[in-house]
Amino acid sequence: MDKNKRKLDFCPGCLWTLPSAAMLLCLTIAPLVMLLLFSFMNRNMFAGQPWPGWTINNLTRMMAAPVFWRLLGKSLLIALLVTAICILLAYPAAWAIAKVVSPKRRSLLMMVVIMPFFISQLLLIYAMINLIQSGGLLMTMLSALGLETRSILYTNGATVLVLVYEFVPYMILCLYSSLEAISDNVIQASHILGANWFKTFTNIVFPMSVPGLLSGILLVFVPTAGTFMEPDLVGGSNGMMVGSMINTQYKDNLNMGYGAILSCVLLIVLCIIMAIVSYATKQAQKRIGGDI
Amino acid sequence: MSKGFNRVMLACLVLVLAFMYIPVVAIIGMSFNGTAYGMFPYVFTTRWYRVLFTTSNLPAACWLSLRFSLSVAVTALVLGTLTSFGLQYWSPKWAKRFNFLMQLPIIIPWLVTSVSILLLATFVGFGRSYLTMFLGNLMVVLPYVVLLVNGRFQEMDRTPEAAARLLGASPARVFFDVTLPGIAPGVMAGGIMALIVCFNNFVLQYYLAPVGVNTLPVTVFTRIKSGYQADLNALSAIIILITIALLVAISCMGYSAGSLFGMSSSLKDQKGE
Amino acid sequence: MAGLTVKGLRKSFGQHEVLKGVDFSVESGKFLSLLGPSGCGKTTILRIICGLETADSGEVLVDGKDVTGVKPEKRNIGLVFQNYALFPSMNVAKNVGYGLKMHGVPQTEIDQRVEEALELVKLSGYGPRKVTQLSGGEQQRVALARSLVTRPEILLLDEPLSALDRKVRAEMQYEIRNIQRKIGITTVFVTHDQEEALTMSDQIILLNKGSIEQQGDPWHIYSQPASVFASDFLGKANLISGKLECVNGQWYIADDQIRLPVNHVGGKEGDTVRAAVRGEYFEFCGPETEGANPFYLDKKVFTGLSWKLIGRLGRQPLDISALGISADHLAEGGAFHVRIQPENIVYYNE
Repeated sequence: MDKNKRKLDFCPGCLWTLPSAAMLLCLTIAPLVMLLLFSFMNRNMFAGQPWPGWTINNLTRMMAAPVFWRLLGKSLLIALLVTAICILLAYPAAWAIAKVVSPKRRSLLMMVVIMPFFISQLLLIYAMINLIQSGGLLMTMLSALGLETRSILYTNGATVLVLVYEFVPYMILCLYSSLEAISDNVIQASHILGANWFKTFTNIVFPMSVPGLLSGILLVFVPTAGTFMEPDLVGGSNGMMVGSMINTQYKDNLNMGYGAILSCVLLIVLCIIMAIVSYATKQAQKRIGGDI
Repeated sequence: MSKGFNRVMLACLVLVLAFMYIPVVAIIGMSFNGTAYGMFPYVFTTRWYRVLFTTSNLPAACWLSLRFSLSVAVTALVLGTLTSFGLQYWSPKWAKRFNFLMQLPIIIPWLVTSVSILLLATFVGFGRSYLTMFLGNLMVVLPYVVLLVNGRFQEMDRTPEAAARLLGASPARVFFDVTLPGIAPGVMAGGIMALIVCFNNFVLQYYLAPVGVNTLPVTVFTRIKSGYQADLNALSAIIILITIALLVAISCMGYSAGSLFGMSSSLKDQKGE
Repeated sequence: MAGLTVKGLRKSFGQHEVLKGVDFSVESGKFLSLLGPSGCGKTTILRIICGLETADSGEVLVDGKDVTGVKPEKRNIGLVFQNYALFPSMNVAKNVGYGLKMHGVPQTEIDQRVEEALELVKLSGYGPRKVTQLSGGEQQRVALARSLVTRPEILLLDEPLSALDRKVRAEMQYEIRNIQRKIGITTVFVTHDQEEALTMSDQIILLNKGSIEQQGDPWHIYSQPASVFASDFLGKANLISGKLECVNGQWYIADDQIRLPVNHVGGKEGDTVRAAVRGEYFEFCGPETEGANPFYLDKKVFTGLSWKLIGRLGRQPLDISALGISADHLAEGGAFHVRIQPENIVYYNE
C-alpha cells in the first residue's frame, strides 16, 4: 500500500532537481567525507598514487598541540566580540531605519546599508587599512589634534575592527526585517497602557526581534570564527586565528591530513554552536507565535 | 517610542553609516592623491588611473574574474531555476529537507568548503584547475539562486500554468510562456547575487584556481599583503562607483535593494508604490 | 458538441479519501452544476475531467470516447478558474488568443476570432489592455473568452463567480448562462452557492464528502431533498421530528402537540423519523381547519421580500417565510394555526 502511494505521488517534474542534487552530493557531501577520510591518512594523497595507510597520528598531534586549542578559543572569542559589537551598532541603526524614518526613505536607506555587500570584502579591508595605517588619514588627523597614538594596524584590534566593518550590514539587514515586522499599533498600545519606552522595549520590541537577532548572530559569528583573510592581512604577527592555522597547513606546510582534521574540528564546533542558535531561534519563534 | 529615544537611534544610524562609508569615501579621495603611500600633503593627480590602465596587472585580473564569474553566474542561473522549478513538485517535507542541504554551502565556512573541495579534486585527479574552480564557485553561488527563485514560486499564483496547459500548450511552452515571466524577478535577483558573490569570492579562488592563474580577488590579496598600492586605490574607486551605478539602475528598474535578498518586506514596499 | 460521462471516480490524497466513487453524465449542450460544501471533492472532479489531476480509478468519457489517459493539452476541454488564472505578462488579446496560437491557427484568423470572442463577452476593444488593470468582472469575462475561443467540446467552470461582489455576480450568472445557451456548449459548473446552482442549471448534482447525495433538475432537488443533508444544504429547511402514525389510511408525523400529514414513502407505524419542511410551504389557517397545527410566533424579522417568522410548531422550532401583506397582522408572542400539504413534506428515517 505504502509503496503504491509513493509510485503514484512521483512526478517527472521532480527530475529537474536532479543536476543540483548530484552537485550537492559530489561537491558538498563528498568533499566533507573526504575531509574526514584525509584526517586519518598517514600521508598526502594524490590521484594515481597507491592508497595511503590509516593513522591516528593527526588526531594525537592535534590533541597534543596547545596552539590549536588556544587559537580555536581565541577565534571563538573574537567572533563573539565581533558579534556583540555588531549587535550594539546594528540594533539602533536597524530600529532607526525600520521605525523612525519615513517609509519612503526606508528602501533608499536599506540600499545604502546593503551597498557594501556588493563590493569585494578585500576592497573593504583595503579601504580600512588605508584609513588606519600610520600616516593614513585617521592617524594624520589624530596627530593634527595633538593625539599621538600608535596605529592599531597589525594588531588583534585591527582584526576585530575590520571584521565588524565587514559584517555590520548583515546584522542590520537581519534585525531590520524583524523590527519592521513589529506593528506600530503594538508599540502604541503598550504606551497607552502606560509602559515607558524602556519597558516597551524589554517587554515588546526585544522579544519580537529575537528571531532576526539570532539569524544575524549566525550570519556574523560563523564566517568570523572560520576566517583567515582578515588576521592574515591586518592582524600582524600575533594575529593568527584558527583559520590561519588551517590555511598554513595547505599553503606552507602542505600537510593535508593535519589540515583536514583541524577543519573537521572547526566545523564540528561551529555546527554545535549553530545547532544551539537555531534551537534558540525555534523556541523564540514559538514564544512569539510567528512562523518566520 | 518616545521622541528622545528615536532621536538617539537616528544619531546612532548616522554614526554607523559614517563608519561604513568613511573608508570608502577616503579611498576614492586617495585615488587622486599624488603623495606616495596615501600620505599627506594631498596633491591632486590622475596618475594612478593612468598606471592602472597601462602598466598594472589589475585590469587583466579584473577581466578574467568578470568572464569567469559571468560564466559561473549564468550556469548557476539556469541550474538554480530548474532546481527550484523541480522542487515545487516535491512534497513539502522533502522540499524542506532538500532546501536545508542546499543551504550547507552558504553555512559552512568557505575555508572549510575550499579545503574539502581541494582534497576531493586532488583525490580525483583534477587538482587545482579551471574546472575545479568553476565547480567550487558554482556550488557556492547555486544556493542563492535556488533560495531566491523558491521565494518567488511561493508568492506566485500557479493556476495560469494549468490554464495554459488546458489551452493546448506543451509543458515546455508553459514553462517559457507563463512560468518564466512569473519567476523572472527571482531569477534576475538570483543571477545578480550569484555574479557578485562569485566575483568577490576570494577563498575559493585562492584554493582552487590553477597555479599561476590570478583572479581579481587573489591578485588583490597578494597586492595588499605587499603593502600600499596606488593603482589599487584607483581600481577600488572605479569598482565602488560602478557598484553604486548598478544599484541605482536596479532600483530604477523597480527592484528594491532588499528584494535581492528575498526580503518579503521590501517586496511589499515595492508593490505598494 | 459532446456529452460527458464520468464513471466510478475515486481519488485519495494521502490518507484522505476525497472521491468515493462518483458516476454521472451530462447530455450534450446541457448545463450541470456540481454543488456541495467546500471539501466535498467538486473541484477535484473538475480537475480530473480536464486532466490536471489523475484519478486513482474510474474513467472520463467525452462523447463516448475514453480520455482518461489523454494529456490535458490534448483534451480540448475549457476550464475557467476561480481566480481567473490570466497570464499577467500578456495583454487581453494575447491572453484570449493564446490557445489558438498553441493550436497553430494563423495570426490573421487569431485576431478575428479573438475579437469575436471579446464581443461575445461584451469586451470589444479591450484587446490591447493589460489584464492587471481590469476589474474582477472584466477579468472573469476575459477568462471566459479565453476558454471559449478554442471552441472546446466541454466547458468547465470552477466557482468562477465567488470572488465577485453581489451585483456583478448576478449579472455574470445571467451572462454565462446566456452565452452557454447561445453556443450550446456542454457545461459543468462548480459552486458552493445553492442559489447560484438553482438559478443557472439544467441539472444539479449535490455532493457530500466525496459521494453524490442527490441529482436531478433544480425544482426536483429543491422540493424533494433526498436526505437531511440535502434539505439543509439547499436553503434553510426546518427539521421536525416525530413518530409515524397511520389513521384511516392517511399517514402522519406526530408528537404530543402536532400532527403533520405526509405521503407514505416507507417506514412503519411508531418509527421515529425526521421531516424536512420549507418555511414557505406553510399557510396560516383557522384552528378548526383540517390539518391545523399550533404555531407560537416569537419574533418577526423583515427581510425585504418577505417576513421571516421565527417561532415554534408545538415544541419544535420552525421558521416560516411569508410574503409581506400576509404577515402584517401577526403579532409577536401570539399563538396561531398553520397547515401544510402532504406533498411538501419529505421525511427520513432516523
